[in-house]
Amino acid sequence: MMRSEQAVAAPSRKTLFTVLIGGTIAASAILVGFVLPAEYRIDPLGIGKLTGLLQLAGPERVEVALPPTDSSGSLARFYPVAFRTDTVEIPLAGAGDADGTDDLEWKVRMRTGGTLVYSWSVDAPPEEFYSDMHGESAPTPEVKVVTYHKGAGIESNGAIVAPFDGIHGWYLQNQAERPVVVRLKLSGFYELPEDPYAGSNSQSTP
Amino acid sequence: MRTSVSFWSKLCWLLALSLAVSMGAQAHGVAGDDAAFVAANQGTQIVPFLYLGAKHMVTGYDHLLFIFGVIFFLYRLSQVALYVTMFSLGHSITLLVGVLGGIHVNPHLIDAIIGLSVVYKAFDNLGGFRSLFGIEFDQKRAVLIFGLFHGFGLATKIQELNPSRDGLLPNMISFNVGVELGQLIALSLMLGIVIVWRSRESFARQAVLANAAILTAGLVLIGYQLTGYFVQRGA
Repeated sequence: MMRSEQAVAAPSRKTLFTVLIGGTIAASAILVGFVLPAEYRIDPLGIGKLTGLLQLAGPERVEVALPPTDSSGSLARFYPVAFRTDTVEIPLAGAGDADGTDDLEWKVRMRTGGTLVYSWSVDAPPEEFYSDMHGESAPTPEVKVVTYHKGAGIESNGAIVAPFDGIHGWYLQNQAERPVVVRLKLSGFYELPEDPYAGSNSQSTP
Repeated sequence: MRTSVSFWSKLCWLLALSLAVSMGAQAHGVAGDDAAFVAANQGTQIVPFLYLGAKHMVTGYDHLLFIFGVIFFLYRLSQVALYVTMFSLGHSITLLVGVLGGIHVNPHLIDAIIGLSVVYKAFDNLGGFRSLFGIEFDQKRAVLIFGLFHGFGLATKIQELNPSRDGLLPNMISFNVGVELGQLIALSLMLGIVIVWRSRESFARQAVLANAAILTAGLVLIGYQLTGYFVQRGA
């Protein structure tokens, strides 16, 4: 019934198998050779590297491990400029609220060896706030990334020494239904970027 | 021997063409300034959302490939209208229900199913289900069901942009009408091409090649999106 209205190509079974097998081989070749290197930096055949397609996938991210806290080379650090202090209030909309953002990034710029001391707290219910303190470098050509601390919690106090030049700070996510405000106090040897909310943008030059 | 060589050279040519077309079209997401508009917008904005909907459809190669597969062998305009209406009905339901009801589906999995719809339609055009498995699907129902998945795909693209709740209903209806307008524009172009193509003697043989190419493109879409799903989960 349906077919009387609709013509179809009716190749032989042999041609159909050829199409299926040929199509699968061609699709796999396009995927492995081009799409995966360019989109996800997955390059098993090395074609992405050979053709430069890998550059489309963005810079490679290299995780920098933090040395254990008690094995620092020197516990004394000195800087050519005075430390600065900032206090910031960061409002976040209720979770899933379409009229505002319930998560964002806030970061400062630091040089290798720069020290930052901070405290933040948020008026959210415990377990309904998530943060991820991390840093990342400009692409050179790979991007160095470091994770300082992440998890649920409504306050955090600490100090970090930047392992590389880059932007360092927080991803903050409100999981409570009502809007909240993060109160952040920080001191140390860092600079405020033009837009601290620019977030994890590998293209930004620290 | 000679025919098989020319088969493969033509297939390669078609693949290159479909690859070029898909690279030209930005299938996924609403990019750049458009995204900033949706995120910052408050209140009802009929024409901008109408335009965004149309633009998303005209440049969305996954939707276009499926529609192309659907109309490939539809000779009567009334049939084209019927099938396209089924598709529109399907994707309108899930676009509106998805966005207004706040239903979140994983975009990679949805896009993989959209890729599957492309593979399905190409294989069906080749008579594959009947000839290899001896089964036949109700075509109208299949188009409606895959339309539902395409609508969830549209919904995830809008949801990624966090649209304001203020004026969401009129804006989404505008977006939806825009999608239908864009589809109509793309459809007229594709119909024009297919009608001219069908009048040529070589059509019957090229039809097999063309659907082989569509099938291949659908397989690439599935692999692309499934890899994206697993990469995202691993991260």
